[in-house]
Amino acid sequence: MRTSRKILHGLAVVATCIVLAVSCKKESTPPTVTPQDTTYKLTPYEIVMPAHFPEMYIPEDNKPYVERIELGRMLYYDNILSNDGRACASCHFQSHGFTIPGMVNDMPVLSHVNLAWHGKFMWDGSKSGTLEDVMLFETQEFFATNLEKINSSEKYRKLFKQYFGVDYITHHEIAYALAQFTRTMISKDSKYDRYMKGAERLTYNEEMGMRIFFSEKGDCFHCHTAMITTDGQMHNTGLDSVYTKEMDKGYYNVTKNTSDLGKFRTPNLRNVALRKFYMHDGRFTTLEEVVEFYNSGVNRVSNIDPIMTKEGKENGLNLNAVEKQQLVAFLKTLTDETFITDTSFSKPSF
Amino acid sequence: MKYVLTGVMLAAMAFTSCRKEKENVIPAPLTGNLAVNVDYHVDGKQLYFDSLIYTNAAGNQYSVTKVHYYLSRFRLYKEGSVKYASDTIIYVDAEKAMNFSFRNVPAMTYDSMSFHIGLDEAQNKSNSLPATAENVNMGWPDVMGGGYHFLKLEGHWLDSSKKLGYAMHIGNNGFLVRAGAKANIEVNGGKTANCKLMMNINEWFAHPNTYNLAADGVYSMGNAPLMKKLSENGGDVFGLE
Repeated sequence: MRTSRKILHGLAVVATCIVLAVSCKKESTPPTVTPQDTTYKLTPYEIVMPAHFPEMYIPEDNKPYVERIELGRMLYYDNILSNDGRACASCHFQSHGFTIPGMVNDMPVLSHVNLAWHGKFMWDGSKSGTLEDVMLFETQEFFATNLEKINSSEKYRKLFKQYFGVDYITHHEIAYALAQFTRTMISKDSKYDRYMKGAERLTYNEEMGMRIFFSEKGDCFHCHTAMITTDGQMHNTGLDSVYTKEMDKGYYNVTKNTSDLGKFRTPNLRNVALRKFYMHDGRFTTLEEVVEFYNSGVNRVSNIDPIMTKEGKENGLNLNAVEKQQLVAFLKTLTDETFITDTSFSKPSF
Repeated sequence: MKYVLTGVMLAAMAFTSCRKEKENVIPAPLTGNLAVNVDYHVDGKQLYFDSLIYTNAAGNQYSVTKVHYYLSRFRLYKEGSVKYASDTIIYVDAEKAMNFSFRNVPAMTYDSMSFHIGLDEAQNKSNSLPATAENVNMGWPDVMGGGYHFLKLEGHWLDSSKKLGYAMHIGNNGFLVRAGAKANIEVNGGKTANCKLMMNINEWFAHPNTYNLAADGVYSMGNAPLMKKLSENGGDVFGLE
């Protein structure tokens, strides 16, 4: 009798543990989105890695599929994401390298290009993680997507059921679909890319500009690394000596560490010539102005990036007029016409 | 007779079981593993990043904001002979914990270790390493000779009362840092021995060359005399515990 009580007690403990384990798992694990969850046959998609780009992180639970990428593209262009008529594409025009010729909240919009290689997002690095993480922020907080609205769409209910195997669409599946699409938005066919592959020659001025860019003369390459054109890190490049506006404080607003004052994430330079505003507050409107700042206008603030304090270049690069033009000429070789006209990134027919 | 037979059987069983025991004795493995941890200090003081509290041999007050480098071509010695060699390449970012290990290290007591800070000529070619984000960020531009940075040591320092930056970068064949340290590492067969490589940041600025940020310069990339000084100083930046 005593023994059977012990056995019963033991069984009860084991059962409780199993129940707890299962319930904990349900709460902490995001909905599974493997194709096994759906009877719809998904088509695997292979992301072709450009030569010499860093390896791309793709989460195990969001491997690329043609159908999910297409669904992400539909969402990217659909104002159903927001409650005020905006879609991602409202501020990210393909013709401008997926940014806009304007500003939002007094800030230029960072371009959606090669996002898959980013670990920090936003000018001030306030968002970090995977593309899935940042897209979850976009749908859940930035757009505050109305789930009732999207679930009342027969089209989306059907597509999410087919592609993600869910009966009710949550921010999680929306984020995953957006991440699928944005992960494919890769710029890899600029003149610079073709030059690096030996498929095209640069002009003399472009070549000289590249030498300035990739040598200690211009020293752009330490932050704007080869091919990917960003190290993804936060830097103070001496833009301001006094941080009058909150937005000028940059990464400090995230960490509250004074050594992070004025630090901003290195922007990607692909299609940089298509932009209308430069720096975190759009204070410059031409590439020539940007180059002139780095040439003569750098403020020697106490936490300026150490790379920018070379003797004789404390306030700028001291390039002559021709060298400045050559640097701009090279920057223009980063324009990727293929990327800005690729129909697989364009607005789909709904 | 019955008792004799039983006695013989028992003796046979005992003999067999003893023999079995003997056969089951496993000889000690001839190799073990060596786990390496990398850590930092400044003349015995703990390294805190971005803190302007350290003083080098030239009297420069400085801070450290970045220490990125490669370790390669590890060798373990006993009485002057190489007993173990590994050509593993390790990328290190000093702000992140770094542990790595060597497997199948012959069991013995080693008295020294050598390695390179940087990459051999054969490895120091653009895009020769896997295109990880770290390796891409360590790239040394082709127009400056190509390959990779061997070391990026950056921070700020006080020049009189002004806070300035410094960037001690080494790259290019010919400036490879050949480092090493005395050791007493006992690797036992089938076990994992542990050791700690301790980089003394101040050693980059001393021995054999006293490096003065005010007089020598704050930016070494592309400056052969400065990279030579640093490369020579790097030989004893690591101690082994």
